[in-house]
This record gives sequence, structure tokens and C-alpha cells, in this order.
Amino acid sequence: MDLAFDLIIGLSLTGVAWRIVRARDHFQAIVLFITFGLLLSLAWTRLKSPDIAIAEAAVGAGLAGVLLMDALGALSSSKNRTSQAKSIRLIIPCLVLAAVLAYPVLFIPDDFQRLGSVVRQALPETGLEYPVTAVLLDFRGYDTWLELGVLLVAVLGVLCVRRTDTIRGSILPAPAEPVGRWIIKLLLPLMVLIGGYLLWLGAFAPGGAFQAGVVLASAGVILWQAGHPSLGLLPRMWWKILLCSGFLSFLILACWSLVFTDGLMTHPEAKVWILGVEYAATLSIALCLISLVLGSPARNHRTDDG
Amino acid sequence: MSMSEILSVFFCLSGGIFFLAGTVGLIRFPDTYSRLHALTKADNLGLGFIVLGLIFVAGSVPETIKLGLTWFLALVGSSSACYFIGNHIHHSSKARGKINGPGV
Repeated sequence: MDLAFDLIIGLSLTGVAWRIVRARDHFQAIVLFITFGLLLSLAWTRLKSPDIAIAEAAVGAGLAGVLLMDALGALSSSKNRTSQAKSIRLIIPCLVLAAVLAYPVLFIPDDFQRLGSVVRQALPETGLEYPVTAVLLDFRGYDTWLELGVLLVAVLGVLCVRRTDTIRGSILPAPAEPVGRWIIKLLLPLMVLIGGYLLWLGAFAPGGAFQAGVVLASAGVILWQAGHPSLGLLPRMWWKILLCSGFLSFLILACWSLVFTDGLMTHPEAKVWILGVEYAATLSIALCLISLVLGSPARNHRTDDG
Repeated sequence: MSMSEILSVFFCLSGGIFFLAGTVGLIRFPDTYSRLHALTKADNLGLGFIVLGLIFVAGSVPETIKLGLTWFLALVGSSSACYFIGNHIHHSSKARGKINGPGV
């Protein structure tokens, strides 16, 4: 029964991926891409990786879908459309990529359980009860640091291309219909609650900074979509500080450990540091993702047109 | 097999039938309005029955509350998405001077 379910997921993933490549227009491809993300999160659930499943459903299917739809709006409103001719030369990089991805699948090391037991042994030192969060924020903290840096650079790039540094100008006018406002009243408190819950859950169960940040970011996107003015109330200075806060907290930790401890990014007061870094990273991820959506070029066209 | 398990299977199957009917409607119905109608029925009733079936085998009270919350959020999401899509079609077809939806 389980095998049948896994086979159905695997086959539909491959089928949807094929349809994405062969899709007639961009809109269809984007909708199929969102479907692909949801199926992929099902696959992660079957692989007993709920963290990746939540992140995939929220980022891969949710926010990436919003960003792609925005990009589609920008593409269709610009006059010079690029030709959709599929280049045959793309096959070679695709094959290389497939080979690189297939390599770790075909040659799984025999002692892949070893890392898990090492993490479990070192877990009490971090003060956390959930190994994934411990790996993300403590054992491999610099990976997460660099990820936050990549996100920050992406936001800076978008803001540079947009040639504006204020978020106020991109607040949409509030829609006339009452349903949008009703949804905000209903969903926003729940989303903030769920974001906080996921953040707190990260210490001992699947959840954590990324998932919580994405939920808060989607709350922000809903606020902006409905033209709610509260996003613009955040002063520009605070917006900038919070954008950098995740990267900055890791930087402070790194500098602190450089002076006061022996190893790179080690910390005797693990729990305090991890909590601080996690909260800062959540806010920073949420604001970075909101800024990516708000700063997308489609907004320029819309404000130019209107 | 206990009574709660039988009830659970019964409600989950009923939910599955609603999802099947909704999918058939989505494929077979001629225009967007009736497709929306079919879709939201699948979301509301199908998911509702499945959640009801799962509540019968839920282990604890928090689990039951989370299941109920899932259904409630799906209800809010699907009904408002349905409203937005319908509203958009209505306005765009009015702008084009048609009475019916575009049927895409």
C-alpha cells in the first residue's frame, strides 16, 4: 500500500515536471509548478522530513508561486516579448545537472546513519531537543548564516534594480470589496499565532525560523494584497535594521566567539544565543520575503500604468 | 474493528466521493462559474467529511482541534478564492459586454 502511494507520488512528480517543460504558456507552467511544489512536499512527508515538507509547501509552492505570477505580470505588460523557442543546446547542461544529482542518489555511503548518531550525542550541549534545529542553528550555523546572506543580497539586488529604497510607495490602494478585509481580520491573527507557534516548536519538534518566517511573510503579503496600510507604518530605518537582523546576529555571534572563545562560532551559553539568532532570523526572513514580493518589477508597471 | 474506526472509514470514503464528484465536475462542466461551484463543494464537504472521519480516530484533544482548524482554514481560503475568481470573471466579462463567463 505504501509502495503504491510512493509510486503514485513519484510518477505524478515526473509527469508534472514533463508538463511544466512542455507547457504552452507561462501561466500554465506556473500553475503546474505550484502543483509540483505541493506534490514534492507530499514526497518529503513520505520521506519523514516534515521540516523540508513545510518549507517546500510554503516557499516552493506558496511564495515562489506569488513571485512567479508577479514576474508573469511584468513580462506580459512589457511590450518586447522574448521568443519561446526552446534551445536544443539546453539539453547538455540539463544532462550534466541530472548526472550530478544522480551521483549522490546512486552512491549513498554505507554509514549514513553515523552522522545522525553523532548529532544525537552532541544534542544535550545545545540545550535543544530537536536535531534539525540544532544542526541548522548550532552545528552548521555558518551554513545558515550564508543562506541569510544570500537572501539579503537577493533583496538588495531587487531594491537596486527597482531604484527605490522605500516600501511605502508600493502599498496598493485598498480594494473596494469587503471580502478582502474580512479575510485579513480572520486570517492575520491566526497567521501571527501559527508563525509564533512554529518558531517556538523548533526547539523540540519540526518547525523553526524558516517556517515561521515564511508564515509571517505570507501574512505580510496578504496585508499588502488587500491594501492594508499597516505595512507602511514601519519606519524605513527599522525596516532596514530588521532586514539585516538575521545576518547581523550571526555576525555578532561570530565576532564575539572570535574574541572570547576558541572555536569558530562556538558559544558556552548555547540556548540564549540560539534563541536570539532564531528570533532575529525569523523576522529577517519574513521581511526579506515580503520585500522580494513588494519590490518585484511588476509593481513598477502597475504604478506606471495607474 | 471498533465502532469509531468503522465510522472513520465511512466518513473518509464519503469525503473521497465528494472529491471525486468535484474533480469530475471540474473536468466536465462547461464554464468557470459551474466549475467553481464543483470545486468549492469538493473543498468544503469532501475535506469536511475526511476531517470528521479523522477526528474519530484522533488520539488527543489538541489533535482534534488542529484537524478542525485545518478544515476551517481551508473553508476560508477556498470560499474567498472562489469569490475573487468569480468576481474577476464577472467584471472582465462585463467589460467585454458578455453575460456569461468566458468559459475558459
